[in-house]
Amino acid sequence: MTLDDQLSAFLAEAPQQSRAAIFSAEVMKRIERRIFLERLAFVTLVTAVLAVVLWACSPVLNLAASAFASTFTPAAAMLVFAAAILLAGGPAVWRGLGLRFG
Amino acid sequence: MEAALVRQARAGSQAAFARLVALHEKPLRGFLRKSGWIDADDIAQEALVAAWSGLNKLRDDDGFRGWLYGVAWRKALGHRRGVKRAAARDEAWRGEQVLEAAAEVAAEDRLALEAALATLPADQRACVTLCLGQGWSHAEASDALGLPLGTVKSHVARGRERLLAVLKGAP
Repeated sequence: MTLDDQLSAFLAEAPQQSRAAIFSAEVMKRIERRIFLERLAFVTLVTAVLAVVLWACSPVLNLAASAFASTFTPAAAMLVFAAAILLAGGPAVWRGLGLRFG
Repeated sequence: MEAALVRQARAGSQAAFARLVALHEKPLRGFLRKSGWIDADDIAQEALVAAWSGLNKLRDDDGFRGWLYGVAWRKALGHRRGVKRAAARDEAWRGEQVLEAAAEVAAEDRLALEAALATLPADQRACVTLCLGQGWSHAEASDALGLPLGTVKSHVARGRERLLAVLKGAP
């Protein structure tokens, strides 16, 4: 073996294999965390924008709500009642209605 | 194959990026260790996470390796300049960063080479490690490290000369 071969072998030394899987897992965990934080930031921003828009439109929305409130009250009550049954019944009721969540 | 993985990762596939990590982490960490960074694993992790975020900046999908090493090299230089450094290190963690000793090199030669390598400037160490250790071309190393081609060639020639002198002189 030449001195150049020995030098190349020395310079090509890599970390021990035992740590490779842990290292990769750590990297992917950090990437997942970053993706989560990016999504969270995006959702927060969208929510804030939506809140500002609704706040700006609140005078018009108030008028609309007061105008239609009496008409839609029975329908809203029925919807709330149906939602309460779904929530109280849990997955068994959802399956019975042919609904699938998750 | 690597270009396909890069495209999938850019489209958001974490599985594809995990395969790229598995392909490159070992030589990348080895390169950083040989180039003299004690925090090689931390730097490599940061570089890989930055690579995930910056995949859109990669122009040539086949050039992922060189681009990744470039990111890592800049991170490493930033680490050195940075004020914040991990002062206390867990000994077990440090131990796990130890490199697998090449069977071709005798223990005393290895120690002498380690000492000689540590005396080389950082740029020179990086050039020597990439070109002589990992078989990169001078042009590839020049692109990744952001150094002129002539500088890389002279770094490799001088570094090789210095390290071979140590090998010849070792008892």
